[in-house]
Amino acid sequence: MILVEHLTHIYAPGTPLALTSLEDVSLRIEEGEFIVLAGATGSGKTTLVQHFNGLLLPTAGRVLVGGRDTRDKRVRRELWRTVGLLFQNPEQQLFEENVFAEVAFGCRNLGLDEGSIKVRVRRALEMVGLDPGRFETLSPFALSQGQRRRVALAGVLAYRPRVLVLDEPTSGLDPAAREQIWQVLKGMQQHGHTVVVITHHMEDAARYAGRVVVLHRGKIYRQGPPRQVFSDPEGLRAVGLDVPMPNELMYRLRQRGLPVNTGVLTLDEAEAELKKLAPHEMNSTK
Amino acid sequence: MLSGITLGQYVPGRSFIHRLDPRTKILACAMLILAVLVCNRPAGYAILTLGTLLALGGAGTSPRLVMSVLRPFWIILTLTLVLQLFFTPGLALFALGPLHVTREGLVLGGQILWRLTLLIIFSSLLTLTTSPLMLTAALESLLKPLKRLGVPAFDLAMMMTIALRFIPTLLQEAQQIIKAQQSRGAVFSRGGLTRRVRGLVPLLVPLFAGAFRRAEELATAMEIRCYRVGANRTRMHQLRYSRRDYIVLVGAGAVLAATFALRWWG
Ligand SMILES: Nc1ncnc2c1ncn2[C@@H]1O[C@H](COP(=O)(O)OP(=O)(O)O)[C@@H](O)[C@H]1O
Ligand SMILES: [Mg+2]
Repeated sequence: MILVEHLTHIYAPGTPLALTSLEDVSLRIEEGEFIVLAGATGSGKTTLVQHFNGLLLPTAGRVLVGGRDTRDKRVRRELWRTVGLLFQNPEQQLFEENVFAEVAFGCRNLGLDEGSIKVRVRRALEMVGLDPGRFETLSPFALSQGQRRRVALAGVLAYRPRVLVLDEPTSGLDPAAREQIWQVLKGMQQHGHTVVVITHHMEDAARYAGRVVVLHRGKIYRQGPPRQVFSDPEGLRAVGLDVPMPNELMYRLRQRGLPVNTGVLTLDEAEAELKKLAPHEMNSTK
Repeated sequence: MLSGITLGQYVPGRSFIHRLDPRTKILACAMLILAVLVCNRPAGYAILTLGTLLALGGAGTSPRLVMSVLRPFWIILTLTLVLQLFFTPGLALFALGPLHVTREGLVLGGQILWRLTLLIIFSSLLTLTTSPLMLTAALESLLKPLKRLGVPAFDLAMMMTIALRFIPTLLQEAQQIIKAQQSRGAVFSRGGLTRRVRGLVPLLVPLFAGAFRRAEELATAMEIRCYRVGANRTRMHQLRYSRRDYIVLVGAGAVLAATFALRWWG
């Protein structure tokens, strides 16, 4: 679906402020994948995803979306329909007078008729947990930050791009709201959408991602299924990432010489590993 | 759009010009701008051009950076040149359809183009090599004599710094918002006039909302640090002229004097 080949990006090239934010990145994202993009602040995550919908162009290398090169101006003009990108802090881009118009903005730009816009906006608001009847007519500026974030998310969901790319959609939200957003994204994937999410919440990544891609200083540092990527806590911490608690636990036990599997994703799996170690004691505490 | 070096951006460095006292830079810049305005002789332009090259060299500015500073102005620059070329009466050199390029037009257009270019370069050099903090300190110090006349020098200087400080921020934010709205299919640079004007709403509303939020936060932050309008305060870094500064001031003064002399007695 998205093919990144030897992508290098330099901001402000040729000036004293020139900065190489991506260096020789190659990545292949298949249709229907659920990808989590992780990395410390400044590692180039935002720069990378802005290449997916043609907002940024490669300084070297190329990006193909559905086989079409983003350097082609005509391709780029239509790209937003295929790749829906939700920006970091999207609550700062709201401008319409009410929530309905805000969520409908993308659909209107697609040129849909009013009837189907109405259906899609309602559906999208329900998906992000905002009651359409209550919120549709409110001004986005009257909402809390978390609610505004959901409105922005609904705006992308409503026009149903085949690829959803979200730049830190859950940052600054409470756990319940976070969980809901992950569920929505999982649902979208089950309906055949490709999902790319940037996040710093590694436990969420472990539970939802099909593949985790870790960036470090503009290069791909690790990638693979979460089990594999998270089985190396030392390496992840070295590039400024957290490690999910179950992995951390298994890793430490392993360091003490116990024969456990460090590729666990959930607490249940961790518990199963512990039971293998000491079946008797674990049962007695239950 | 809005890429590369943005207007008024400070680029830190250790060059000769960077290390000048900011007051020297403001005064020299003012003198050179005045010189550009009074200049009307080829010899004057030669002196000014030489001065500009020296200044650019002293700031360690690469030709590419100069080009990227001038780039936002190229429409204005070309337009002035073209208008002068075709619409100055005088001796026709050659014709392009119904329009004649005149000798006087060529001379006048070239002069205006060069003047504008020099003005842009001087003022950009000032902001490229001086941090906003230093600029305020200098303005405050230069405006000090006016305090006796009741001019609130410190507050004026503070207002200017804040404005200077936030221009690049606002431009960056505008860039972000444009990208964000393009991601949802907004169109900024196509279609007829009404469509373009209407297309600005998704940019301007969030931009102003952001600016007001920022202004409020800044005001709170300043009040928390006990900022009061009109109160006197001392500075951590005192400004001091050094030999470098006298050399530059004398040099700029000489350029100014020379252009004046050439204009009235040359
Ligand atoms: N518009 C820009 N102009 C110049 N440098 C930028 C710009 N945006 C990001 N950068 C720089 O590029 C690097 C990567 O940034 P970014 O992609 O935003 O990282 P992340 O999203 O992983 O935090 C950082 O060093 C950042 O300072
Ligand atoms: Mg980012």
